[in-house]
Amino acid sequence: MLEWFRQPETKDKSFTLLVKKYQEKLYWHIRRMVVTHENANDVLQNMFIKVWKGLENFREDSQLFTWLYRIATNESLSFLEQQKKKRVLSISPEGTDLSESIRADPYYDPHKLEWKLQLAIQSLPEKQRAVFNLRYYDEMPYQEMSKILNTSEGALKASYHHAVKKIEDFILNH
Amino acid sequence: METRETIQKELATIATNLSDLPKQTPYQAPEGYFSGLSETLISTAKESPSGKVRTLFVRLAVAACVAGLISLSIYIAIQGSHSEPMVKTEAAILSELDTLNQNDLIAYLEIHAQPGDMLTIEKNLENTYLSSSEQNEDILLSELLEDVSEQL
Repeated sequence: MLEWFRQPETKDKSFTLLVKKYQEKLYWHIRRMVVTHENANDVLQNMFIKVWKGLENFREDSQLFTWLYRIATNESLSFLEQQKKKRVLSISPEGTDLSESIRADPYYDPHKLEWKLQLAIQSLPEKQRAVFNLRYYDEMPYQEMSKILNTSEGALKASYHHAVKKIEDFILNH
Repeated sequence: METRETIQKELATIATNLSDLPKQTPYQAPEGYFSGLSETLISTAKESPSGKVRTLFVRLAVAACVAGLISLSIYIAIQGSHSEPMVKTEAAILSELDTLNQNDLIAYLEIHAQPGDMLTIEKNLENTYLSSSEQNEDILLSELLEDVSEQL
């Protein structure tokens, strides 16, 4: 796929294949981080623009899948950081709280446990949220997560353990 | 390599309640969203400006500004630590006056003195004279006493 991308005549085709192969996994990873579809769509687009620009120089010392997840996670984290700044400065009304966005979802049902779980996940700090999502939903080994989040496996294990405990407490007490 | 089972077991050991939950995301994507996504993404990626050079230029410019500000603040700080305080104490002024050459003072006064200054100068000279004459009297008295004691 990478060889095709480096050839001008097959560049578009190879990129289409890449997008089709990973779009759903990456979309859901981003969506769980940023909550709304509009935000997830924006982050996904920015992410794939970066992939388009950087794929030619992609060093194959890491897996393509890991590299894509790293870009998606970093884009989501920077998006959340920007939203947080907007909220503090109150420049834009878009900067609403993530739990408010969950409650505003047309499918939101406060009696369902999966929605309560989403509220619990949003109560975690951003990076810990990424750790939890990658482990819980994507069932990713710590070794892979370590490459994506640039954090040691030991630190990730501790972070996941704390995240699970916090989520359990949240669900039991809300 | 960790398997799905080991990941699930790990979760069960930390929180049993959570491991029993179905791993289902409750969010929904709009219908047909993924079918046309690759085409949209390719056209968006192609339309987006390369940005690489600009980003590098902007980063360099920002770095230069920051470096300039840091050097300027260091320079000001160093200058500030070496220079004398803005407000001088009376003692500092008097000690500076002591170091002045008397001839220079006279020359200065000859050029810049105002008619009113003469009164102040005279008064100060009188004080100086008085204090020196008092000193002389003390010396003479002690000398006289010495002489008397010798004579006795």
